[in-house]
Amino acid sequence: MRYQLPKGINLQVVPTNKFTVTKLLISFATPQTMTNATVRNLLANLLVSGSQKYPSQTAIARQLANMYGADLNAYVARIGTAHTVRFSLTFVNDRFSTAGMLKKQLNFMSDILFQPLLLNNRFDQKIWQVQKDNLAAAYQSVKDDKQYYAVQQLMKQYYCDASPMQIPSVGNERDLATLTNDQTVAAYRSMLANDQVDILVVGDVKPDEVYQQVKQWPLKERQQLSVNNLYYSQPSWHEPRERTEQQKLRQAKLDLAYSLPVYYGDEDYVALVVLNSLFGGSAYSLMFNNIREQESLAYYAESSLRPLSGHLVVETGINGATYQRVRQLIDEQLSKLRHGMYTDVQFNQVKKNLINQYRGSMDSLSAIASRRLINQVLGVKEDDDVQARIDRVNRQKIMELANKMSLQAVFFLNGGK
Amino acid sequence: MGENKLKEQTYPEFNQTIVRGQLGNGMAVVLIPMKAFQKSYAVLTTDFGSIDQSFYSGPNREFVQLPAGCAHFLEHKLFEKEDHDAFDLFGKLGADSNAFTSYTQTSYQFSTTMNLHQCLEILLDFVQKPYFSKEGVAKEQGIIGQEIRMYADSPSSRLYTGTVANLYPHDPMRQDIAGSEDSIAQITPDVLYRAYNEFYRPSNLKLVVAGNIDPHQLFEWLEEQEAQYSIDRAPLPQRALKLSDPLDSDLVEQNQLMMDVQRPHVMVALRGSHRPLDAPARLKYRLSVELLLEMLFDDTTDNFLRLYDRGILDDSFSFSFEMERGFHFATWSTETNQPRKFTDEIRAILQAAPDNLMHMKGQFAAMRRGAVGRLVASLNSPEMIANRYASNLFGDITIYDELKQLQSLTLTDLQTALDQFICPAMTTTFTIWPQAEH
Repeated sequence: MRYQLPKGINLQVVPTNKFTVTKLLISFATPQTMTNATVRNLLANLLVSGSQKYPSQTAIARQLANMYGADLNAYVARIGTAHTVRFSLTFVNDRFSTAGMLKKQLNFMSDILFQPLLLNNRFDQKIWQVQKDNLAAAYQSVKDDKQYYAVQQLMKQYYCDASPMQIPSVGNERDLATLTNDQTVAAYRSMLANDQVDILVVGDVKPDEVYQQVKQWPLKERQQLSVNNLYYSQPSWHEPRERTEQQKLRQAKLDLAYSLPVYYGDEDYVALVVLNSLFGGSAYSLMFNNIREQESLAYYAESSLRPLSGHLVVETGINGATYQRVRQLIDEQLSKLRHGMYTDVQFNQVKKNLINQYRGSMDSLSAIASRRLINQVLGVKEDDDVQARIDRVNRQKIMELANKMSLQAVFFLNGGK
Repeated sequence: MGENKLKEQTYPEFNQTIVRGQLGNGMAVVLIPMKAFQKSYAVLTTDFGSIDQSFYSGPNREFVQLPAGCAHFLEHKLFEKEDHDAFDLFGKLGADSNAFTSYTQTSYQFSTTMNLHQCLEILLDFVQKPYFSKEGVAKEQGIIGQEIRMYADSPSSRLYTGTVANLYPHDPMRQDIAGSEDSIAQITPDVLYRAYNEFYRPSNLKLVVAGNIDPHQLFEWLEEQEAQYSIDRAPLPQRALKLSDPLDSDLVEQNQLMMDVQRPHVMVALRGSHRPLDAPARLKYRLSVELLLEMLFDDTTDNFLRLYDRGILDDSFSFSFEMERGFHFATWSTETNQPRKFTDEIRAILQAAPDNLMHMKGQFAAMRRGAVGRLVASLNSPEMIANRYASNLFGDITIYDELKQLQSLTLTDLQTALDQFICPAMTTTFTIWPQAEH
């Protein structure tokens, strides 16, 4: 059920009594710029660390316990070129708690979003500083995760130098170092006034009750993002951009990015998913079987899609000395896709596994809610026909798509000194 | 046929029925229908884990010693057969399969939204028809060796195993579940068959299926399926494991190592010594301790806020309580630049707990309500419902019984748990320091 609130504010309610809990998901979306990711990440953390009514993290946590162990999260993520700040609140349904849960929870969410801990146009300085320090520490800790680090570096290679897409959605240390409390407040006001707002409720609720309450939230009309601008594309590099870095590590990382201009919502999207699953996206893939299992050359060798920015990423954890062999093998697996060189058994296995995963995702409240949110932001219709579409994907189609793949960037994080 | 052997339990407030029974060959079966779900999840568990390294076998009480890492090695090798790999058979049906080994159990599992019977056939077949070869064992020694090295690179894994080794310096828990490269070098097909024959008897196996199933029909089908497998009524071997120091006084107070990390990692742990008498007492004790720890340490507490504001801990902080057959302990860990302060503060909170708990009457109801709500929220996952009581430690108890017990806990129960668990105050700490130079 969809409701029209003021322009730029979209509400969707999906009633279901399959689950013991209900999920409220709110997204604030704006085009990502060279500078807005870091401050918005800090803002997300800050808003769930205190409000006028619940002036500390502890006060918020106590209220959540009081509301039968409700679960509140705030985080940032990208949907194509849009940067979103998201709030998720999951709570137990009335029949396992007390009557009127929905109303209580929506009020609580409204307190968190619209009554933050501002004093004289500043966020509470102590909380602001603690959250800033914690974010700095989190950026530090991420460096211990070499797999993540390597992908970040690969993305720097892949994206055009002037593109905001080079900046990770969680932001970076450099921007955080110079960030001020005033800038954080400005980002907050801008988010409330200008961002497209998408609100989703999935659970045991009456849609109209949600609507009646949400329409009273202090959100005014604003611009709706233009759907076409959310999909990212860039001109191809003539030669792949390659870079190597040395660190003292036991396991080296070799990551590759291929352009592949097929997008979420396209007619061929489901075929793209099958291609990825066959290439390196599952335990039944060519890469997994031929690089990890057969040749024992990698601890992991996998591919994943970036279906809103037209590329595919390959990640491997290898022994640095086998670099050439692994690159050659990745090339060979791609060539197999291009020439249809895999068995029917393999092809069917991958398709059945995808169908199983898709059906299984219907059992997950989080999966349902986030899929609906992304579809709503992108203006894509819910696809009720996924299973049949997966079935219909044929070798010809995989060949066609594989031939569109072009190697664009390589990052090699070598072990040893 | 099998119908009369079935016990049916209903939980009207959750609109839930649980059916349990025992197959002719002794295998325990628990069936949890969740009609609204697409998925079915099955987990087959043997009451045999990494610490079960020595036992007395047969009427002559022959003493047997297995190498460390044997249970985990066996888990890996069970998938592989003479001419196929069970993992691929699941794959052909589109199902996801997996397995895991803990200190006291080994579980084999799959989830699927179709072909349930075929998947169950594969599960029952590969767990009950072992095939171990010299070549297979040699290859696996390489693969698990890599796994052991990968964990050696992981600070969180080193922190945990280091802490448990401090807690139980003379017991098999001190060793990694996967063993070491040296210990797994001693594994042969004979060793695996030996362990298998002792601990994978149907009477030591428990199958739990949760999801889109008709329990009565499924039980009957299982009865027919299982008829083809051996009926082995021989008693289980007697495990040699008793804690080597039953007074629990052998723990190592602290230890440390250096690694390539950005900030120090620290873990404090508390070894419990209380021995509940039976499964219901054990459940009550576990739930009381868990709620007690939440009241003292979770993000609703003043303790948490005070340490958070002073930078002694941050969002990486976590604590947990683990209870296994024969032993239990709690851990607290964080990344911090003040690891010594963290240790002191955790100890101080534990020490002050008896005085403070009496003044926490006001918070108790809300804390309990929060814990109940979180458990209710977890009822949406067939995996969670089945796994939570897949082992024998809590007898026939289910997640719904757990909910009832949790709802009826009182502050006095927490007081009792505090006397039993925290007051003996046997704590240890383990620290990982960053290397000075990269």
